[in-house]
Amino acid sequence: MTTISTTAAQELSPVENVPLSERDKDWIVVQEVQAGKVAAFDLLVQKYREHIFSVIYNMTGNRADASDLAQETFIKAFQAIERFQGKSAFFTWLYRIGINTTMSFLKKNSRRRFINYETINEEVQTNVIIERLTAKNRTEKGLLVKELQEKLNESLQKLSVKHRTVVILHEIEGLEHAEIAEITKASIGTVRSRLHYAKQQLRAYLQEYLVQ
Amino acid sequence: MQKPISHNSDEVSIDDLLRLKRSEKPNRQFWDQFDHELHQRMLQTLVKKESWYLQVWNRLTSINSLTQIAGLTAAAVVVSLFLIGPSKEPTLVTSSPLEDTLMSPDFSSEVMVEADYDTDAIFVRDALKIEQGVDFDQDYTTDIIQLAQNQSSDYSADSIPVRAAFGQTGIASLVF
Repeated sequence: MTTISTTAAQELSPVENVPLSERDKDWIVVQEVQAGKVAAFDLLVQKYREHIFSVIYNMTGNRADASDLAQETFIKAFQAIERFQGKSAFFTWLYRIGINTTMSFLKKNSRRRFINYETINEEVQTNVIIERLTAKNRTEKGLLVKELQEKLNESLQKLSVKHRTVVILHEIEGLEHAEIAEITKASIGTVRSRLHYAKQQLRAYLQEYLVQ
Repeated sequence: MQKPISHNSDEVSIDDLLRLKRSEKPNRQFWDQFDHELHQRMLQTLVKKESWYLQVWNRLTSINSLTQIAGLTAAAVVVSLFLIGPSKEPTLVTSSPLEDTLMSPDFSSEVMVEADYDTDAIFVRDALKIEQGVDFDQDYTTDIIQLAQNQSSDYSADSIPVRAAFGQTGIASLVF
């Protein structure tokens, strides 16, 4: 899968040898794919598969659905890459495809919802937040982590899809307001307002875990 | 980009809790399976033959849009000349004589209706010439041209929203 040349991702700008931005690197790879070097698309898959999966998983709360939809996202991107003109960053374009694919899926399957959580990385056991919560609740760490995972996912699923999307992109994916605005085709003000409202809701749902 | 975890004594904020979601990550095995399945699906996509209307559409869209519109307009004019021309000719020639038509009380209103339909000055002038008993064939020819022009312009105008609509239902339907 990763046998292709990675020269595109390591290139330097012809002007003053300035390292290329991620956006420029992606654009070079996209152009290679557009020129018929289909294998170069694997570079983009390797780079973004975890992000795309994470967004979709947190939107659906289902591991299997997320895997399927993430694959669908990459297939759609591959089929449409010829029409990508580089006016926006590749990752915002890809996120948009992923989010729209997921939203269509959620709309179609609004009545059929199964929860299937992802395994939690063991590193979380040493997380300072988990330490604090364990100390506060005087419970066993493993149990607390499991309980908290369920509560967090349930709370996210209670939010509307638009509010959930903004929270996931900002708090979990770490994207800027402007980037989210571009992905969701909303204004920065709308993004901020959705984020504020969503966090207010989440605070109410997760009150018992907050320490102030 | 992100606010750091609150290291302030015992504080746990909503941002801290949400950041814990980053720990939910699939293992290496999952990604191997993911890559394998994705490759299979992408190959299927490449092999899958496109339906004939998609092939036609793709060919049309690959041509320069101006050339496309000009070509479609010309084709529409030619087709309309062939289709509309022969059916109208016998009706006009063998129906009521010119004098009858001119003496008909409804004629003036007919002329007005046609003039309203297309406000082109030449057309109105030609219609008036009929009232004055001028060459009938000349009006007939003008009529066909007017009709053909209207059809062709309607067709090209229609083709643009159709194209836009098709684009929206396709793969890159990215309306949030």
